[in-house]
Amino acid sequence: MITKFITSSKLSKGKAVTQKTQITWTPNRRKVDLSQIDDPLAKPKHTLVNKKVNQLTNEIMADKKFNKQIEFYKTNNITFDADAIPKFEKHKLSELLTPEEVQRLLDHAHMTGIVTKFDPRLLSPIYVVRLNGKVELFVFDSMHTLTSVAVLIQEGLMSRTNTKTGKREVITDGLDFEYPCWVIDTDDESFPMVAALYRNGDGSKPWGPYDYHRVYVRSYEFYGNAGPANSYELAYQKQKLMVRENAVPLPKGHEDLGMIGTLGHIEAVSEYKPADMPELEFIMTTNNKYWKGTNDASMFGFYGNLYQGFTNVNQPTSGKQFDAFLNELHAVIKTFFTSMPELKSATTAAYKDWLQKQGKSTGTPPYNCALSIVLKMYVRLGGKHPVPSDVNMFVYSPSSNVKIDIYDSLPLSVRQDVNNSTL
Amino acid sequence: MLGYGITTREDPWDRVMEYSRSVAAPQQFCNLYYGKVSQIKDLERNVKTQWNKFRLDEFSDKKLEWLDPKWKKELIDLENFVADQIINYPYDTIRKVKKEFMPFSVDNQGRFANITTNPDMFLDEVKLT
Repeated sequence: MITKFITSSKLSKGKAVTQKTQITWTPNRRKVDLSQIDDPLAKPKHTLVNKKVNQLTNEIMADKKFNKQIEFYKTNNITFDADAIPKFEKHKLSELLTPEEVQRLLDHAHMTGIVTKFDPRLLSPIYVVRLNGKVELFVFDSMHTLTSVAVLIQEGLMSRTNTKTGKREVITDGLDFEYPCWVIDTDDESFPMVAALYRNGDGSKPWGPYDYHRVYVRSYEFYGNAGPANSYELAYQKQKLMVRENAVPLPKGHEDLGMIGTLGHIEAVSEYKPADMPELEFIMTTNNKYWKGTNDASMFGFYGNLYQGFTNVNQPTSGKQFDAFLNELHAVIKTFFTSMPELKSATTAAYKDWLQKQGKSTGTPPYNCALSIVLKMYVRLGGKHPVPSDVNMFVYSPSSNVKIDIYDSLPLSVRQDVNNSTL
Repeated sequence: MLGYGITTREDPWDRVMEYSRSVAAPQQFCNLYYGKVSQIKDLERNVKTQWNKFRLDEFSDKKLEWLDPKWKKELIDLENFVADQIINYPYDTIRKVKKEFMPFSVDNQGRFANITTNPDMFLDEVKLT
């Protein structure tokens, strides 16, 4: 039982065009219901749960693929040796060797960053391998941690409480200072490399942009921590703006991502600095006004360049005339492309064709390409409002009398429809 | 099993044959919607993204264009969702193939050969039920 959508580009054919058809913006009447979205950041602090281990195991065992792997082990009597779990030990810094065959080069800028923001509470154990029970320990992860601690102790910049006298004292142990290590015992000489790969690659799940955003927002919302240079507060302000404009950010893989009112491009939003907030607000409000909770990534390039195109020459981006201009611009998009994602597809195809005419290989269209195309159409349709200079871009002129405009790379049917229409 | 899809070819028969060949059994389309390419593509994208949660994720790393029965979505739910999109977006060129021409099966090659010259014979306006 299949519901099928069949298409035709011929619907408008056969119409006898005696006069130009006036195009107007038709408002989107779809309803946006944010209550249907399971937004992690909408939950108040008191509703957040500290999960017990059995809650986690129950959740993952319900996953079919995960469960199959566990069943495979059980079926084949495959078990794992708990004695091989690494041991937690304290070792003198001088006992730790950093093998060149495993480790990256010491990153000086990263080191400076670590000591600039140094906080002993954020230190982690040094990850080491002990081969055949020997004294030497081979560091396969946390080289920068090790180096920063060693420097601070050597330079007399770390202190501790003397357990006998109860008084604070500067540590003078030098490299005999004992530091917590996570020790893997093995007789496999290649294991430091395997362990390094696992710690930094296969076995790690780096945080994505949403994870940072989530912690920034909650740090400010729950604890009033504005963060370095008020970055957490800024993330909170962006969160409020996005929700207000029907663009609830969700992490990749979230079940509700794609629903009306969700946004999967928090990385684009994260880039906006405090001084750019008026531009972000313009993007979010304009997109929501016209597309009602449909948040395509192309909105940042389209509306961002539109905003800059006017503000860079001190032209207004609000008011009656500007609103009328926006209505006309969106009438162009909706009439000829239907939506922002379809505009993006058409732009990609036109840009490819335009580059091929120049004998160049294809590439991703620049962020203002779609805007430029729509502005070119706006002008051809008789639009009267001033337009940003993007309208003149994407014209290849190999000689003074030859001009190859990307507009001519749009499908013929679109250009014919533009010729037969007016604003 | 309820599913959805899109074709930009002249005759949807090509598409129903593709479905049928891959499962070695005749398949049928219970509803067909017809309209301008960009609107149809956008409508299908909306079904795909907004109903992403309900799509089957078996047999492939990607979610399929079949709806997982565990969500208990009925044909009427899908019809209403599509109708809501068409009426309220609005997709002004999209119309629904009349009931008398449905379901569309492997025996119906060429059924819509005249749809471009006589659309009203085949197509109804979409309504919410």
